[in-house]
Amino acid sequence: MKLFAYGCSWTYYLATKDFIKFWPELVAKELKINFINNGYNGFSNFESTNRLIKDLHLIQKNDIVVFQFTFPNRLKVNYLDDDKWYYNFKLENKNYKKEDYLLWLEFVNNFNLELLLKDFYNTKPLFEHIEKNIGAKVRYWFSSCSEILTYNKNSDILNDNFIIMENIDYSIDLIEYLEKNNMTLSDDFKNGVLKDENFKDDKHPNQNGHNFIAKYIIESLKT
Amino acid sequence: MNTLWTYGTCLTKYLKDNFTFWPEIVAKRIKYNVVNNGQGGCSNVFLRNSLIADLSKIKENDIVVFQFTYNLCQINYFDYNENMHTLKFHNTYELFKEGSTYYSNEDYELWEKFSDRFYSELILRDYYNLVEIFNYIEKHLKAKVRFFFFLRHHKVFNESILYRIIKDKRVVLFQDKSISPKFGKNETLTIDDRHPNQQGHVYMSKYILNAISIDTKYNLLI
Repeated sequence: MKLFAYGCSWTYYLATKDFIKFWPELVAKELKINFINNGYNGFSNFESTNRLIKDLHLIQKNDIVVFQFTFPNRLKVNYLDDDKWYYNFKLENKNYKKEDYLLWLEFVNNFNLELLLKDFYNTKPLFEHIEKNIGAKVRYWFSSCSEILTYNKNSDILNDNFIIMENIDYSIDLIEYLEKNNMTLSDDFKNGVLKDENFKDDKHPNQNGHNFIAKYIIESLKT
Repeated sequence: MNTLWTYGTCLTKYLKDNFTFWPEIVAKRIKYNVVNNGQGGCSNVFLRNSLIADLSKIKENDIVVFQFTYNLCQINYFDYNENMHTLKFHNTYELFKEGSTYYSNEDYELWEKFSDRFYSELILRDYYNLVEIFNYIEKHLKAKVRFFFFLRHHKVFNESILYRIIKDKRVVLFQDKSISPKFGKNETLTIDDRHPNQQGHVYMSKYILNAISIDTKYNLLI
């Protein structure tokens, strides 16, 4: 029995300066099972999904898969080739102009809900395949729902390509959607517990934050 | 008997047309059963999800042929009850308005501008959204995968992106090494400037059969 975890820097952050036990390790320890943490800082939902597909042949009956969705507007798409990650297109790339970047930002901000749902529905069939045909258990959750990328007009676009503004909800429709589908782990996320400095360090969960996340994941695995 | 699994849009299956489409022609030629999962007007994500739903049924030596469409075609979205709705972005505002009252003209213009500017990138993104699944099917299910595209011919495709796709040996190459069948205004092949008639499907089948025959036990010479 094994835990497979997927996500962005909220699941594994290579460059963290403090020694932190991330939620996959905490969950696996509590359940007394082995774990594989496939999280990676900067990963988009697209990349995490591809990592999950690469692991499909490893996932066995009674294993556990926990997938963390990040915000959908990562300004890049990576792809895997010979087990190395390459950029498909990054908008800070010299091939793209400032107008391209602004168009992208306008698009992702305008269609945040649609893009997140598209990411979710891009991955959901895999969840169904894993549960129905492999017999493993799947749980998923969303991070950073209150964050939204926005253009910093005072910055040099090529050097400081985006900032993250907090306290801006995607939209009330998204929150309603998530609630109706039981897609959040807790109202505490929506209510901003992880915005509390006790839980967060530089936009990422600190040890308390990971303990908090792990607690809810373990709870959800009991059902 | 093995199965040919096909996925695609109106180029693969279109209920209004009374032709024998390429999946049936190809399957008959190689003596396979056929499961044609084409659906007119659907998106690449929709097709990908159909393929994932079939993963448990695909067996060793089966063949999967996947026809990509272009990104501008439409957006599929889901309501709270998980019913799928479709916004169609073809050529007119009228079609857009018929699709939904939820979005404004400004939304439509933004989507169209974005899809137009990042036309090649979005197609490549859809390709990379499938490539790991193709690898899984070939490596772990031992079935063969081939794919091709249905592109808008008046659009210029980014050369560096095209190169990334062509280097995948599973791509079906049509006339002039195109990754998409070219019908143009050739009335012997099409019912309009985009959709094949019966001769068009025969034309496509030849190239698909040729792609299938590469590195297989079948020797299907066209």
